[in-house]
Parts: sequence; structure tokens; C-alpha cells
Amino acid sequence: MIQRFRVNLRLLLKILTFLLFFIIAILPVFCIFLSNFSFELFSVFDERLSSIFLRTLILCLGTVALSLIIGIPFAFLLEYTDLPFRSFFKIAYLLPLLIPPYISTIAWLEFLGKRGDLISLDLPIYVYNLPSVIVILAFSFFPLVTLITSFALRNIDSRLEDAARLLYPQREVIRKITLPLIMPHIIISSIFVFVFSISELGVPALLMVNTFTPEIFAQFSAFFDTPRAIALSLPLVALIFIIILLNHLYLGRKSFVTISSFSRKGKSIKLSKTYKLIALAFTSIILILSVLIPISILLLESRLQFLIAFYEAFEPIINTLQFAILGATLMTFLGFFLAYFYRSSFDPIILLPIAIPSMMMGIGIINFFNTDMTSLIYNSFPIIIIGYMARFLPFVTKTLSPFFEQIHPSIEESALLSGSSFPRILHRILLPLMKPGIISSWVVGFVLSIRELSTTLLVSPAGLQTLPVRIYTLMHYGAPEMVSSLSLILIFLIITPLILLLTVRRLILKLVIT
Amino acid sequence: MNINRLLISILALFLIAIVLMSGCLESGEEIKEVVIYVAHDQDYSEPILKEFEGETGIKVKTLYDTETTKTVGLVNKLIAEKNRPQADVFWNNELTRTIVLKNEGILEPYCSPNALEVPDIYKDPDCYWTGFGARTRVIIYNTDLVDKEDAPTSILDLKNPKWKGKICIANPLFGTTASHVASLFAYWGDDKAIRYFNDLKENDIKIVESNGMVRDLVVSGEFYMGLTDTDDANDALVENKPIAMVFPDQGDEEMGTLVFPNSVMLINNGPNPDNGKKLIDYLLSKKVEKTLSYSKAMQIPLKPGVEHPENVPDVDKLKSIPVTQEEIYNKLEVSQKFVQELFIR
Repeated sequence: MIQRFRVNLRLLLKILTFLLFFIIAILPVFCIFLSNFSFELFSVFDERLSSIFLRTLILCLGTVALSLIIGIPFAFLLEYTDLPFRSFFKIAYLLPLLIPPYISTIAWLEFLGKRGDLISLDLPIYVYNLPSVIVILAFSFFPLVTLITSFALRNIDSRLEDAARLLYPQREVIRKITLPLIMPHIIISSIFVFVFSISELGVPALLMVNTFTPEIFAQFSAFFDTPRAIALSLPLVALIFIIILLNHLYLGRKSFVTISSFSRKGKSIKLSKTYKLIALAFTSIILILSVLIPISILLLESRLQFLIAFYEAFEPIINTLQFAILGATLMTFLGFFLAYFYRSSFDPIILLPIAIPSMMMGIGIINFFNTDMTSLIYNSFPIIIIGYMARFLPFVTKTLSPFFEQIHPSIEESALLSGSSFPRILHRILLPLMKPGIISSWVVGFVLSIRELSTTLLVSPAGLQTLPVRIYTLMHYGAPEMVSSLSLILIFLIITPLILLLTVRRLILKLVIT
Repeated sequence: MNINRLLISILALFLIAIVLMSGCLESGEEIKEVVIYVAHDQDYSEPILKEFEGETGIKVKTLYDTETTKTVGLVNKLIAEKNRPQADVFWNNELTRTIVLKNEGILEPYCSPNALEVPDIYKDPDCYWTGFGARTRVIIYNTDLVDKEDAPTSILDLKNPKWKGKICIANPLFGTTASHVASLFAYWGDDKAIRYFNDLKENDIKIVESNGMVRDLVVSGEFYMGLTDTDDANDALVENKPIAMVFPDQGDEEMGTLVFPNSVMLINNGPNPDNGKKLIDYLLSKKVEKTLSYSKAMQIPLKPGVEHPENVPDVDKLKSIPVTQEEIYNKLEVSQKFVQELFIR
């Protein structure tokens, strides 16, 4: 029961949050959908499209499966064991996420095929097929799984596990207690990987595999047929909706409350020598394949022309950094309140934007914000930030909400009974408990924004270019030194704030413990 | 620290950051400016636009396109902005999308004095658009893998079973490849064109991502030959890669190849129409055509008497497929639907 006169601030915030979310992420798409709707939409599916759709489904499910197979053990090794060089791996595992899959595909094709100038093995393997796409995408996206799972593992109340461990062997404990506790996080990360795989254009195109999203883009770009493009998007939207609903039904019944008054970091499992080697081999091979080889190829192709590239692309570089930082901060801010006020029952609405193809989002935003009143937004950088927020708020919000779920309502209620105001509860209880969630969601927002391409392309005002846009412009007419140098600069830009954050987080943890 | 003070100081910092950043925003009223959307490659177009800036003092704000096969973002953007145009000029690197824009009512006619010398087939009779600096479709082949005697000279040679599985083209739904396909439908009629593409499919022709990719794959030898544009081919030729470029179907009885110039046009109700017209005049000058011909894009000047290097052909000596832009445009949808059904499955 909330005290009467406090309701104003809390209610106001609750309404404001939803309004902002609605205007930025939902309304633009709604408008364009309504203005292009017609009943012939339902007859678009034919035999050709069905087989493409099926192929895309297999692609995405395969990518999710492989990402989980790689990502979850990785997270366990990092958080639960005494894996050698743990602190290194804890940062390194994020690297594959920072290399756009398109770029690593090109690097691999050069390495394995005949194309590379300096290195090429010219192997007779035929790589232009669906399994290759799955492998490349899984190796790019597994860090999402590991990121979210790691934070989940770090925040489990270890007393539960310790108690279970008194009676059961370690393996049972993991199966019966740990995994169910982190299930919401695993499922969320699977949804993210799924959505990313569906919207991936570059990799399937390079490997000559026809998937569904290019069909939607073809309707926009080749046929200029917006109503048909929207019709094609509907199965995707519907599919993701069903997944979200299933997620809601599956998790709605179970309780994942564990953080009561405090949580402790658990004991790490000591690995025997053989297992240590196996674990090390596992993590190292993954990283070599997903990071070391593509980056080495990029380095070779760039011929170390970093200074030239930096000078040429100075403005896009600065822009990208500014926009991503601003975007991530705003998203974390809004996402925090969104996740707090609107729990899982609102999932379908909160997650709706991720089902919308990025191009549709871009066109919706243009239509919606291109008015006299909003010209200040439309004609300068805020429109790019709105693009990021429209696309990525769901990710940021859903990264935060499992953390909220783990906070028992009794904590807040007892604070209210003691007479605390809402701002005070926020400051003293929610924020400290949510710190790991806030940090991880900022990171998610930052990384997603900094490499965003398709929506930014559409909404960018004249005179403003971001780094991914510049790189893709250059890719078109073969300037491999510049492309490689700029890609490496992009990767560097992402790593630096991350390293800063991770070291700051260590300091915070140290302060908390002492 | 008091929560309220913390929140206020964060808000203050945020506002200060915004204010600092807004210093980069152009106010637009005091400075003379013009807004141009450019489909032509940034590396070639940017210097020309900078020169215009230097000569006239008008600031040029540009928006570039990227993978023309993937997004055609600029055209979509222009259409989406129809009720409140943000651009003054559109510099397109082909013609088919220009016709799309004309039919959508996005363009405003402007008869530039510099357009008079452009041949009639390369400009709109009502001055909606004007062509300059052209490219053509070409066949490229790997000189290490294909002997000169066997080399293809016509696009009909691509049906030859000798090259089965060794030929690639870019996605025929987008860009210049789409225009090429539509032009064949327009010239040959639907039936002959359908038979031709079915034959190509029999011959195991592969669809790759872009014209640039066609070039890269032929250079590396993963394919023996392919169809691409002059500028993509030239990128490899200047680096002395082992490929040769052929202007197909140039013989007396043959049909010619597709020639597509850049096109420049004035956007209806743009923010700075007068500056837009000045920019169009500048882009249609002989000086710019000369610069474009000497660039790596080796663009063919359309106006008579423009100096150009050895490797750039004379436009009057070049045989082009005898169809109008309108005819190509009319065949666009039916040809795209057909190739989508045939190749993209």
C-alpha cells in the first residue's frame, strides 16, 4: 500500500516513462502501419516465400542453439571456476560482439579462399552455405549470452547453492538450482540472439544464402512497395510475439526471488589439472576463431594506415562516440524506470519494437518526426539518438528487468512502512541493488548503438555521418586499407569505455565488500 | 549524498552537454547553404562539392548513400520526405530511380543553361533531370583463366556451357543490374528476355552481393567472368589486377550495352532552391565532366569536346541499347518480379 501523498511523484514518473517510450518506439511504427494497411496483405505468402521463411527459421534457431552451447559454459567457466587467466577472459569474451559479423565474414573469406593479398589458404571447403552463416553469427553473438548469464550468476544468492551442496553433488546443484535461477536471463539472451540473427543482412548475402529480411528490404528498396513490405514483416512480428508470449507464460508462474537482504559471492569450483586444460582450450579456441583471426586479417589488410584513416574519418568518429554515449545513457535512464514500473505482464508491448524491421522503423521515424514542430529534432543529431532508442530500448529494458525480478517486494514494502519516500527508496535501495544491472544494460545500449547501421542510414540528416555508415560506404568500392583501419578504430572505440567500466565496477565491488 | 542534489547535478551536466553539442548545430539562416543527397561515391563526389563550396561560398551539406544494392536509402528518404523536403538537389548515379522520383512527383523541372549541350537521350525533355558523366555495363573476365580468343564479347556468350558455374552477377533486384535486366526486357520483349535468363540459370550463374563483389571474385579467380559497371572494373584495372574489361555487343549488328549517366535534379519545394540551381549548373559544367572522367570512376563525358583520358571511350563511338529511360522504367517491375522468382529462392 502506497502512502497517498507520495503517489503523485511515483505515478507521474510511471506515466511519463510510458509516454516517452510510446512516442519514441511505438507510435512511429503504428502510424506507418496504419497508413499502409490493406486487406490484400494476407495473400502474400507463396511457395517461394515459405521456403525462404523456413530457411530463415532454421538459421535463427541454429544460431541461438550454438550461441547457447558456446555462451553458457563460457559464463560458468568465468564465474564459477578458477579458470586460469580469468580476468583476461572476462574482458576478452566481449570482443566478438564488437566486430560486425559482416566484417569478420569478409576476413574469413579472404583467409580461407583465394582473395587475400597477404594471407590465403585457398582451402577447397565450400563455405557458401547455411551452416557457415550459423557458425559466423553464433560466434559473433554468443557474448550476449555470456554477458547476461554472467551477471545472473554473479548475483545469485549463494546460500541457496551452499545449502543444496550439503546434500547433493555439484552437478545436481547446477541442474536443479543454478540453471532454473538463471533461466529468465538465458531466455532473454536467446530472444536477443534470435532477433539479431533474423535482422542480419550482410552475412547471408555474402555467403549467398537467401533469407527473409532481405525480402522485406527488397520490397522497400527495389519495388518501393511499402504496403507489401509491411505485409511481409507481419510473420516476423507475429513470430517474435509468440516467442515473447511463451516466455511470459513459462516464467510467469515461477518465482525467482533470491536477493533478500544481501547476497554473497559464491565459492569457486576448483578444477583438476586436466579439466583446467580443457577449459582453457575451449575458451582460447573460441576467442582465436572469433577474434584473433579476424582482427589479424584486419590488421594485415589495413597496412597500419590508422593515422590516415583517423584523419579522414575524424568527424564520423567523434559523432559516433558522442551519439552512442548519449544514447546509451538516455536508454539506461528510461529503461530503468520502464523495467521498474512495468513488469513482465507488459512484456509484449515493451518488446514490440524489436520485432519491427530496422528499415520500417527508420521510415516510420522519418514520417513521424518530419514536421515543423519537431524540425529541431529532425534536422540534427537527436533524430539519430531517437533511432537508437526506438530500436534498442527493449534490449536495455529487458537486460534490467530480471534484476528487478530478483528483488523481493518485501524490501520495498518494509522501506515504505518505515516512512521512506519514493526518491529515497530509489537512492538507498534500488540503485545500489541494481548497480550491476545498470552497468550491464548501459554496456548493451552502448555496443548496440555504436555499431547501428540500417536505421541510422535512413534517419541521418545531411552532413552527419556515423562511423559504421562511413565504413559501409567505403566497402562498396573496395578500399580495403581504409575499411580495415576504420573497423579496427571502431572496435577500439568500443573497447575503451568497456575497460574503463569494468575496472570501475571492480572498485565498486571492493568498496561494497570492505 | 542527497539524492535530489545528485539528480539535479546529473540533469545539469546533461543539459550542459547538450548545449555544448548544440554549438555544432547549424542555424541555417545566416549561412548560405544547399543540401544535396548524393548517390555517387563519396570519394569522387566530395572533392567536387568542396570545390563548389570554395568557389561560391555556399556551404554544401551532403548525405551519401552506401551499399546501393542494399538500401537505396536516399530514394526511400526522398519519397518519405515528400511533404516536407529536406534536400535541394539529388545527384543520382543512374537513371531508373530518377524516373521513379519523377513519377512520385518529387522533382521540379529546371532547364539549366549547362544542359543545352547534353544529347537529348541523356536528359529529360521537360527538364526534370539531366545526365552527366556516364558509366556502362561491361563484362569482365580473369585474364589468367580465360584466353583472349575465348573471351566473351556479347552478353549472349554468357549462355555458353563452357563457362557453366563460372559466371557471377550482382543481385538483379537492385542498382544498375536491375536497370540492365529491365533494359533487356524492354529491348527484347518479355519472352526473349525470359528465355535468356532461364538459359543463364541453366548455366549455373551465381548471384553475389554487389558489383564490387563481382569484381573481387573475378580478380581472385573464384569466378572466371561477370557483369559489372565500368567504375567497379576500373578499380581493379588501375591496380593492374589480372582482369580485362569488355564493352559487350558493340558490333555492327549487335545491340549495344547499357549506358547510364549520373543524373542531377532539383527537388520540389526544397529549402534553398536558388542555391540548388547554382549547384546543378556547376555539376553540369564541362569542368566537372572532365574531373569525373579522369577519376578512378572513369566516367564518360556526354557533352562534346570534353577532355578525357585514353581509357575512357568517346560517347558517340559507344553503342548503347536503343531504349528510352521511360521504356526501361516501365519494364522494371515485371523484370524484377521475374528475376526474384527465378534467382532469389
